[in-house]
Amino acid sequence: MTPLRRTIAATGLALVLAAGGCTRADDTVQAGGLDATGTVTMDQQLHDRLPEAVRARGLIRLVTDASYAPMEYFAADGRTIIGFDADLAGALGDVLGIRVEMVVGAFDTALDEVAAGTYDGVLSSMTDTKQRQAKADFVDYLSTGTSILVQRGNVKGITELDDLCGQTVATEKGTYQEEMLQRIRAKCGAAGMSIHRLVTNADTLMELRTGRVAAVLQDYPPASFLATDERTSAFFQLASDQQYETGLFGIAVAKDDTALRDCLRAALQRLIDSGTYADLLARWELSASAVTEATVNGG
Amino acid sequence: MFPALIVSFFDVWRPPRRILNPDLSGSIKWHMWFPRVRRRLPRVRSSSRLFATYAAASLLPVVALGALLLQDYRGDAAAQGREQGLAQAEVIARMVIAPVLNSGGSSTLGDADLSRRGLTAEQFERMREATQIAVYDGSVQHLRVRGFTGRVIFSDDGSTGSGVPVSDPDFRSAASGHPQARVVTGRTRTIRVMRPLFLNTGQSVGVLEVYLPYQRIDDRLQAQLVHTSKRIAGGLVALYLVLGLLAWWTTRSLSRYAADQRHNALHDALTGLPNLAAFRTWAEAGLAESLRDGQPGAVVLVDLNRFKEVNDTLGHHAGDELLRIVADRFRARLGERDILARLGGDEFALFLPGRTGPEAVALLAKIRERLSEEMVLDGVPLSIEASFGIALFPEHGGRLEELKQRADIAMYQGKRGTADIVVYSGDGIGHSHQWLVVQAELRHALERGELVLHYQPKVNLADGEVRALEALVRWQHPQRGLVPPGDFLPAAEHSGLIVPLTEWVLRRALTDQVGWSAAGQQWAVSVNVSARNLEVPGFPELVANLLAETGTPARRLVLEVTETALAGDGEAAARVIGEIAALGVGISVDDFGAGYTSLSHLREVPVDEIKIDRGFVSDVIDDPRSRAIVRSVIELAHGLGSRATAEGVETAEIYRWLVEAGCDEAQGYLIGRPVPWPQVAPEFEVPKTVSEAEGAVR
Repeated sequence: MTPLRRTIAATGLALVLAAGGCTRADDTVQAGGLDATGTVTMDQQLHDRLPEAVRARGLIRLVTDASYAPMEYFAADGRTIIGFDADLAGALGDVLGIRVEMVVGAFDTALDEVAAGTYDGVLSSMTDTKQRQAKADFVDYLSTGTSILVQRGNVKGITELDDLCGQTVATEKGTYQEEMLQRIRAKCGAAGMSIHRLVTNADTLMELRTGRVAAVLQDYPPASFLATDERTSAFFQLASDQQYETGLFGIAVAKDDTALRDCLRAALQRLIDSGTYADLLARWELSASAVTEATVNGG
Repeated sequence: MFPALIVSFFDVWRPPRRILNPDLSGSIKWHMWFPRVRRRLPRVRSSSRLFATYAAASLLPVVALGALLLQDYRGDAAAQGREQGLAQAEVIARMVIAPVLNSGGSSTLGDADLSRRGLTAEQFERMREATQIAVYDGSVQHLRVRGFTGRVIFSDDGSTGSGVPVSDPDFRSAASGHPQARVVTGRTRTIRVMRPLFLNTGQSVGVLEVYLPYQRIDDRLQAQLVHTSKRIAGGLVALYLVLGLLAWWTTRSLSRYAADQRHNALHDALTGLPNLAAFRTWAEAGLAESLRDGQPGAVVLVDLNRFKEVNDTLGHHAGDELLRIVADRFRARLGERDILARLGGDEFALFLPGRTGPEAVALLAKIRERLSEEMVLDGVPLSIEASFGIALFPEHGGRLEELKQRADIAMYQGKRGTADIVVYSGDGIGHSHQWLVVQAELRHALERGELVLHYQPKVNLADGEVRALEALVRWQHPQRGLVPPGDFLPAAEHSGLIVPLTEWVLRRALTDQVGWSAAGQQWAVSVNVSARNLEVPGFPELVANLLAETGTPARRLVLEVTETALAGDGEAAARVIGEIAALGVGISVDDFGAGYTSLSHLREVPVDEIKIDRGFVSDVIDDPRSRAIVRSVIELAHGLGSRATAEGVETAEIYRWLVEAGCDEAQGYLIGRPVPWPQVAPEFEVPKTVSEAEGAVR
């Protein structure tokens, strides 16, 4: 081959590749999918439908209690919030073309803060329940049940919810599990049940670790994480593989903020459709808890 | 005797002076038999230099290793101190500070910076209670809880203006989650730790600045450092010693190996004697020195007789053993300054400085005696003899090669003769080394017809009539002119070239005979025949054929044979001579009385003529004993029915005496010199008898 022919051939090849590449990019990358650099692509229409105030502010503020690994918790520096919820918030922000910020706050007062307008929503592994729907609308993003977490060795022999009767049990204040425990205690009769309601999930685990309570009732994902993570598995285990009262985790949004709610739902649907959602779940080993469709107030 | 003593005194006295002499090549020769001593002087210096280089080169990495180890250890100790500080600070943070910060319920959540949030009065009081004992007893020197802006929320002494500036890298690092420890030196040595403060949720809310006493830890670390340094130093010294030992050992084996190599290059592996190369080097040095000092000496070549037989019959192993024994026997007799070398095979060379010819011969005689003592090889008792050829310096030359060549000539002469120890004698064998040249040239001379025959007449004593001509060969050399027979006949005899030469002479002489017969002369022709000719099969046939070719009557040919030829292989020679005599050819015994003849040979061989050696003939006038011998030989000849012919007749007086003694024929310069046959005078005028002469005068 002469140098000239070589040049012509190389140029031709480059043109073909360039043309093919362009076509494919136009056809296949939808909003919520990943572009060539691995970034989630933005949906301009959704961005345009965001509430005026949010767009003006340039960010969506979601409150969270970051003591619920692997859903949301602090990195080693004590400042960065990581976990599936943090990743999901980031991906939603990418689709909407706006920054989504996770702010640390107390769980039991979070809905009130949203209602009061301090934050735009709650993203803190909050179970979507009828009672809570009275205070907020939920964009549901995860399906999971409740587990019983006990000390490693399970000396109290707790295997099911009824075994909690006569025991001291801890739960985070304002959670779905707090409500569950109250329902169980009502059926315990004379044996009764002592319930420690604490401010953070970390507080409940501290009590379980130090033996002040026999069990902690919490969602399956963080309970499973604690029972398998090498730093905590020496101290905690699941009482059984059973998940109770399966429900949905939802992003709580103020009832009057339907625009934001619909945007978040649409954005979540984009992520589900593009496969990004499944990918994020897989990263935190939560694939079993996937939802197939983004719903509002599905709980 | 006395001069010899002086010489030996000087010999004894001189070595020390030479050892002091810085010229080391001198000492090499002197200590021939003490190779270790000889090698040590020059080598010790170079091997010690090599060792010093090794030692210096290994010192460098050892010192570097030591420095590195110490530096590492020092670094490790400091890091250990910091780690300890960090661990201590973490315990304080987790067990003292964090519980206080966590207390007080949900009010702690939300705001992540202590700078803004501060402590509640209750928390502040709990913090003071938790820390005051440690602060008071000095377990903690200072303790400050600070927000991210640097605000002091709590301090051990209640002050709020103190503390590390926010811009300090340690503070910034701690604020972003990474603890830092640093040793600071104030009145005492202290570890300052800056670390983040976490709530139980894992959230970072501020920075803990704590100062822990380090002096005690430091003292302990220093003590450890000193201790370890000593150990390292000890270990390194040991390592260095080992390295030094290895270096010393290596250099020593290297220099030994090198010395062995050098030794092997210069010595014969079988006997351990110096080899040819070494002999050349050392003997040349010795020769130069002797010549400079005006000292005599000898170069001797030795060849064992019948060594090949030993090798062939008893095997190489026995041959090797023999050589070793011989080498030992040689050594036993040699002096310190003498050099003995094995040149190869069964050939040895000796360099004997400071000895005159007789001294050298005496020494060799002793050696020969020792050598010839019986030895037993493989159960076979045998005694070995050797031929010694001696060349002396300065008489026989000043160059080693020249001396060796002459010693070689002398040795071969000894091998041919009966003497074992032969000193080179300039004249007699001087030509010997030219023999090869002569032999080569003689071959060409035969082909090119450079040889001519001269004839010397042999007359009847009574009437002076020429009876026969003796053919004598002359060499008309293109460069050297007429070469006398003595210069080339020995070489021809030695090489076997004498056989074709004699045949040529015989053919030529018979042809010439035809010539003078045609000229009317009835002379017979005498041809000298070598013993070698008699050994060649078919020689009688050759003679018969030549006679037939030339048509010469057999009685006109006389073959002269020396006594020695007859004595050689007696029976065979006698048989051949008998065959020739049967042809009718005359047989003459040449040079009778000079060699040795067993008289029995004369009885067996049909002799026509006995030629009395010139040695007796020339003395007959003066020496009554010669006269007696000559008369007896004449008598003997006549008794055997032969003619008696006197050789070397040079004066008329002798001639006359011979006539009176009854001798038959005569030959000599008086009668005629050897000339080409046409110049031979047909008549010789017989000298008058004394009475006749007197009468004539009167």
